[in-house]
Amino acid sequence: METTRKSTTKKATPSARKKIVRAYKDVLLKTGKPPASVYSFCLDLGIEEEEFYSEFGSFAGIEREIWKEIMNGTIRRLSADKAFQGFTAREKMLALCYTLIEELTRERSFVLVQLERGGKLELAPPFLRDFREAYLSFTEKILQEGQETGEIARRPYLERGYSRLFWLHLVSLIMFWKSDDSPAFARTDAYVEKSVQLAFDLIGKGIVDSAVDLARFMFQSRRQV
Amino acid sequence: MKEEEENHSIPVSKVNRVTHFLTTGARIGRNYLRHYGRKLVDPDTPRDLLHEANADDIYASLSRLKGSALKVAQMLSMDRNLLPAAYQRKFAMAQYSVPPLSYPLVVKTFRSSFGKGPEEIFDTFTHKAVNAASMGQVHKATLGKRTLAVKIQYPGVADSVKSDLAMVRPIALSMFHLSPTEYDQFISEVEARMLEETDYQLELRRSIALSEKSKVIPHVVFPKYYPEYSSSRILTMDWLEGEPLGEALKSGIPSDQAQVLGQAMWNFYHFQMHQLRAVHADPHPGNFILMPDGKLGIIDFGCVKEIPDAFYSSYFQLHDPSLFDDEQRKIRVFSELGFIYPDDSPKDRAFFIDLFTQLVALLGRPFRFESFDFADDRYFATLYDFGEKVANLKELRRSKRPRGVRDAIYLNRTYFGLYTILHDLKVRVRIKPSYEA
Repeated sequence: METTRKSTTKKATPSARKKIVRAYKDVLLKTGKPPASVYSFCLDLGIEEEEFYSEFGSFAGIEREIWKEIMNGTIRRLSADKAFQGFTAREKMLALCYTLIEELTRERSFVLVQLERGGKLELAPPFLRDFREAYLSFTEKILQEGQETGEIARRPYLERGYSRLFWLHLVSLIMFWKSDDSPAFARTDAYVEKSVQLAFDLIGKGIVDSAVDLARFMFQSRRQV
Repeated sequence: MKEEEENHSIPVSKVNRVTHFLTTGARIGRNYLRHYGRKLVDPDTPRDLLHEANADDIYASLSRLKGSALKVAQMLSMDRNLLPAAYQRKFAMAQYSVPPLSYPLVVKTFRSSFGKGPEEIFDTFTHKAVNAASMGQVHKATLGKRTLAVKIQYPGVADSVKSDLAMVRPIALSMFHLSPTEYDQFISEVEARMLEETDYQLELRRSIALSEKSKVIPHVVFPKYYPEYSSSRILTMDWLEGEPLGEALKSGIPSDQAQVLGQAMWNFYHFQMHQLRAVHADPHPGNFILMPDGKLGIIDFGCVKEIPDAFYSSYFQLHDPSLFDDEQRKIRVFSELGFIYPDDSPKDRAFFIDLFTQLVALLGRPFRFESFDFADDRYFATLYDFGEKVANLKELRRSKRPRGVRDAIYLNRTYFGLYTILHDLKVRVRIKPSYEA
C-alpha cells in the first residue's frame, strides 16, 4: 500500500488535483468505502489513469493530502491572524485547538468515515502521517517560545516528550469531538478549554518542579547521612 | 476502549464535584457518630453541637462547589434554614463562579456569533475578564465614546445545568432532609429559572423591557443594552461607572445616601412585584452599582420570576395586615398556597396553621407599618431564630407534602435578599412607595 509521494512543487494543474480530491471524497462519503480501483475511479471521472498517477500515487495518497490540508489550512489561518502573534504559548495552543476543530468540522463527514475505517488514532495510521508531522512541528515551535518566555518550565529529558503528549491530547480531542452531540460542539470547546489549561498548568513552573526539587533534596540528604 | 477514554476525560470537574459531596457526606456521618458517641457517655449532649459541626462542614464544601450545583445548594440551604443564620447570610452573598474563559475561546465565541473577532467590532477590548458573571464573565470594551460591558457565556453551560442538578438530588434528599416530592417541585422551578439564565437572548429582551418600564422609579438607573452586539452567548450593555454595592457596603455608605439607595431599591421591587408582575429575582449586592451621582444602578436581569395571576392574588394577601382578622379567609389563602391540605389530619392542620400564622406575621411585619426600620437588629435576630426553630421541626421534615408552592420559591428568595441588603444599609423605608402617591 506504500505510495510514492509526488512532489507537489512539480508543475501540476491545481484544477486536476482538486477535481480528483473532490471526486474521491464524493465516492468515499456516498459509499462509505474507496472506489474499487484507480481504473474504475478514472473511468467514472472521465480522466486517464496516467493523469491520476501524475497527481497521486494511490487513494491513500489522496486521503493523506486531505488531512494534511486540514492542518495546513489551520496553520495558515493562525499565521494570518495579527492577534495570534501576541498570544502567550497557552493562548496559542488554545487558538490552535479551536481553529483546528473548526477546520475539522468543515470536513466532519469525511473525518467520521475515516475514523470508522482507520485504526487507532494514537498509533498514527498512514493517512494521518503528514497531518501529524505538521501538528508536531507547529506545537514544537509554540512550546519552544513558551520555554523562552519562561511560561513553560525547563525540564531536561522530560520536555522532549511534550509535543508527543500534545499529540495524544489532540487524539483525545478528536475522539471527544467525534461523539460530541451538543449544539455547535459547545462541549468540545469546554473540553479544549479545560484540558489545555490543565496541560499548561502541568508543564508550567509549579508543583511538579517543587516536588522533584524536594525529592532530589531528600535523596541527596539521605546519601550524606 | 476509545469510548471509555473520552467519556473518562469529559467530566473531570463533575467527578471532582461528586467526590466533594461524598467527602462531605462522610464527614457529616462522622459528626453524627461523634454525637451519638458523646451521647452514650453524656445523654444530655446538646444537638446544637452537632448542628454547628455539620453546618461548618456543609458550608466548607458547598462553598467550594462551582456552577449550578453551588447555586442549588445555596438556595436549598436558604430555603430549609439548614445553616445557622450567620452562614446563611454569607451564602446568600456568595456568588457562584466558573473558571475564566481563555481569550482564544472568547474570540471563537465572537466569531461564531458575528463572524468577527471582538477587536474588529470594538475599538478596545480587554483580553482578560474584568468580572465574573452568572454563568460567564464580563469584559470591558470601548466603542467611540462609549464604554461597554460585554458578558460572555461559558460554552456548554446549559448542558451542565441539567447534569449538575441531577447530581445534587441524592445529596439534597439526605443532607437537606427533603422528601422526594418536595425536592422535585423545588428543583423543577430552579431548573426552569436556571435554563432561562443561560439564554442571553431572553435576558436581552427582558432587560430592555423591564428597565424601560422601571424608568419611572426615581433614583434608579439601568444600562442601555445593545441587541446588535448581543447573541445567545454574548450580551453587551453600557458599563455603569460606579462601585458595586457589596464593596461600597464594606467601606461604609453615609446614612443619608444609604437612605436614598434603600428607598429606591424598595420602590423598584415594589413596582416590579405589583405593577410589572415580573421580578429581578437576584437581589445580590453584586447586581447593584452605587453610581457617582448617588443613584442606584441595576444590572443583570438573568434571573427573572414572572408572577402568575392566580398566585399573585393569593401570595400578596399574606402582606395584608387584615388577613389575620378573618379566619376563613386566612384558611383559604393558606390552602391556596399549599401550607395546608384538605386531607391533613386535624392535629397536623392545627399545627401548620399555627406555624404559618407565626411565620407570615413575622416575615410580613414590615408591611403592617407606614415605614419600617430595617436597621432593627432585634427584628432580624427574631427572624433568624425563628428560621432555625422551623428547620428543626420534625413535623415539617416528616411532612410528605411540600408546604408552600413552587411559585413562592423565588419570591421568598427575593424578599430574603432585599431584607438583607436593606438591613446592611441600615435604613428606614417607607413601605407604601411614593410613586403611587
